[in-house]
Amino acid sequence: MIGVLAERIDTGSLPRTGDDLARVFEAHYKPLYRAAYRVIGNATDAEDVLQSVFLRLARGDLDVDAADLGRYLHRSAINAALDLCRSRWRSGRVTLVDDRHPRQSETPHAAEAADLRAWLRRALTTLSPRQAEMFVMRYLEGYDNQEIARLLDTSRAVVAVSLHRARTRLQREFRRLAGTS
Amino acid sequence: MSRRPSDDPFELAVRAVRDDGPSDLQVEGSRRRLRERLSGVHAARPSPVSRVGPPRVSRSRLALWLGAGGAVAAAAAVGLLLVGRPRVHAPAVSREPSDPSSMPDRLAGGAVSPGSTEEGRRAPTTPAAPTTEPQRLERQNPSQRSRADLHGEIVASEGAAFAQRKDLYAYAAFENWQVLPSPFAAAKIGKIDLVPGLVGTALRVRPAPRDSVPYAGLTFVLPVRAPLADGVTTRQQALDTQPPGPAPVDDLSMRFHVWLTPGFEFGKGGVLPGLLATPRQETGEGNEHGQRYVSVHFAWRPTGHLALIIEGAPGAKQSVTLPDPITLGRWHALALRVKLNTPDASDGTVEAWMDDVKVATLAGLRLRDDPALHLNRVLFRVRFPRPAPGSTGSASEILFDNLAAATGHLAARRP
Repeated sequence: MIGVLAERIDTGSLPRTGDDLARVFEAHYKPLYRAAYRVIGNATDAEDVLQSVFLRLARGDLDVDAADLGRYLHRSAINAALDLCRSRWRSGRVTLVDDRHPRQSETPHAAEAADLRAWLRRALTTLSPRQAEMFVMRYLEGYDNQEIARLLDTSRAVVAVSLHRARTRLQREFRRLAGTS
Repeated sequence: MSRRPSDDPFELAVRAVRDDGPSDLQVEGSRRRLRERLSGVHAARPSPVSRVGPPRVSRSRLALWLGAGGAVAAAAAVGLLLVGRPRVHAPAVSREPSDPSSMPDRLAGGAVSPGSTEEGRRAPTTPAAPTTEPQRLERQNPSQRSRADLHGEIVASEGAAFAQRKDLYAYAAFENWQVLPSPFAAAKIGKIDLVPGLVGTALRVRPAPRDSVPYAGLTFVLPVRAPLADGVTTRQQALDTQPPGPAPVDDLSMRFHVWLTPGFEFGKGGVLPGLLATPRQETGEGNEHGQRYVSVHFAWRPTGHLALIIEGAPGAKQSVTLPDPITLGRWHALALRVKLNTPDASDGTVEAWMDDVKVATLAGLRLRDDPALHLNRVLFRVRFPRPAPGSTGSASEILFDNLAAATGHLAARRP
């Protein structure tokens, strides 16, 4: 699952030089980009998110152990993407969605899937930042509760309860939207 | 009874997002762009992203990012961060309640409400059913069309005040089939003819037989020329198929009236007209897919909702579904304003109106990278989906009337 992604992109040492940063960039960019894209659903915004993450890394603003660099960047990308979604939603703006496969996207099934994606992405902005982060890490990025607890410096029980509440809330919201009890 | 996980819409939504991803080409293109953008960054200003992981700890690590560079590159990179990205502002639509009687079913031959039109009044007409007695489209000598004729047509269709506009770049009320540009007459896909419209006649487009082409419809590019009031003597000149070259227009509006038959099959969605910027001179089917272009056009979704599609801009093709559905059997006025971005900046905008209600504002767009690219075509593009199995699609017809392009605002009041 996607949880292995973080294992794959750990590089073992913090970037200290331009070469290091280039190496980290090349090793991490693609999986991070895909993670940000999943949250935002827009290629341009995902690129912006990655730019901000790598700029912070380049500036040395990130406090992270070398062993956790991959997971840390992954989490940073998720949070930055969620922040962007929230700010868009608060300002009454939504994001253009990519329409890369026009013929496929015009099928009823694809249109329905697009609607579902749009709903879930918007619904994520209604959760608390921590709940949203946990939700994305658990359900979209494939981390298990123990990994999430470690990364967020909390307990598995807290993660489980938060995820349960987030999921229940989203399901209730979805049923309300769909007009079902 | 509980649903199986695979049937749970919530699970489906999670899976849809989880499985959503950019194409490999997009990822690679983005990687190259960002690497180039970040090269040379050092001592960058604080990131606008407010929450990226745990609290920061200062670490002396000036980034010599991917080689040499300087403050200019850093500022440019951060500047890109600060610039807005494509956004849609779809305000809550408030409008008067729908009044089905305001536009009687034209198939029933009802009279058109006189209703106000922009900058003038519309002459009331007694339309006949659009499906009867279509005129054959046979192009005749366009030089027969005089400026006075064109002026009279605009006055009849839009009112005297509208005809005085100095910023009018293109106009087509489809009143005189003799002077329709040749691609209309030569369209090989779809069926086109003239039928009674808002005033006089309207252009009717119907899908081609199911077996003919995957998409039925027509694509024709109306070039934007010098303002009609400044020397264009015939409409054929205004809508010439061989324009002298792109006009240096970076901010252009268009408007047209559209009517979809009752029983129209939205199918898998279809394409409606819009605006196009292209350096290419050729016109006709498919030319919007040139090497460098950007088009912004309307579309309809399978649900019947209106949509805006942006194609050809740097990055992926993008679209947004607008809040309002298209009402069948009723004229709608659709308007679009496209303002190209300053090259290398994300300050382009696209605005859309439906029946004079703004339904979308897209800001912070990067529509072009090439400063030589200007808005120079009305992209008259209509594409129908394949009819559903068992259907001929014959119930699906679209009528167009009063298409105008101008550098100033074009009101889109519902007829």
